[in-house]
Amino acid sequence: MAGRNLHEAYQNFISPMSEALHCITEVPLIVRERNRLVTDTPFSVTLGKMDPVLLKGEAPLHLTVGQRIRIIRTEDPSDVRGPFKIRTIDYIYLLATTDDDEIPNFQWTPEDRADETANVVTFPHLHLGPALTGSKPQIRPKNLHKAHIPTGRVSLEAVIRLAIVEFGVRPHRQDWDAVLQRTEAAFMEWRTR
Amino acid sequence: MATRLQSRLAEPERLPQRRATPGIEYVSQQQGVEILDQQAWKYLGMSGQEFVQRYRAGEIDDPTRTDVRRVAMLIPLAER
Repeated sequence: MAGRNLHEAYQNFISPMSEALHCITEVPLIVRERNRLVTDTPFSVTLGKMDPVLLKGEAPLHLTVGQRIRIIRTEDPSDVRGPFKIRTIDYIYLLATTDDDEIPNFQWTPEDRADETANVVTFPHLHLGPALTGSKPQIRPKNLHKAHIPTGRVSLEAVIRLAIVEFGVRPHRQDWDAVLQRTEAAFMEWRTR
Repeated sequence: MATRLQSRLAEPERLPQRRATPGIEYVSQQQGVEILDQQAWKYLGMSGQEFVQRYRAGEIDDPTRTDVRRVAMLIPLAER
């Protein structure tokens, strides 16, 4: 997302994210007030206070969504959308059962320092939770849930769509697919990496 | 178990209602401090201030685990 000033870039990022989440939950995004925006500084964008949010449907699920972002100033004078853009520091998109057994846990921490001993990777990945691996997986039986399954960058809309289409979460609006297509298209056009 | 899980669920009605933007709650730095502290106690059994210090010093065991990530995501809400 981008903008002609910091506020516009910030709003152009969080508004579509909020609209997409509103397809499945009434819990709001929590963000900092807009009067303190500066470039190159981390900001939180979280669904509620990072607690699991109940999603109703065929089988109720818990959703956790969090991102840390920074606003950067680019130097491309030909970009009419404005010089201020949003860069992702990290994200977590987690679907879990209502017992909080994780199902898929999508994460990306591109600005972390990769450290194999600390189990830190910098590529977008997925953790398969106990709800998928079962209690006795045939490989890595003690810690298969720690394995980093490469995914490429995952959009929030893809996770919401997964919850609705594959896991039976009940959308809050009939036009949810059109909403997700629109907000996801904006994300794809404006992402900076 | 049900009580514990229920207490962890997000409750929109308890969130501060500062601005009238649907689906988005804008919080002050002081409110961010309170949220970070509340969640650090809930998930990690320590204050928000202690968590930030230990997190930045690399003193949190397995910083990639979900409960740590939940709280770490909130750090910028509390910063000036």
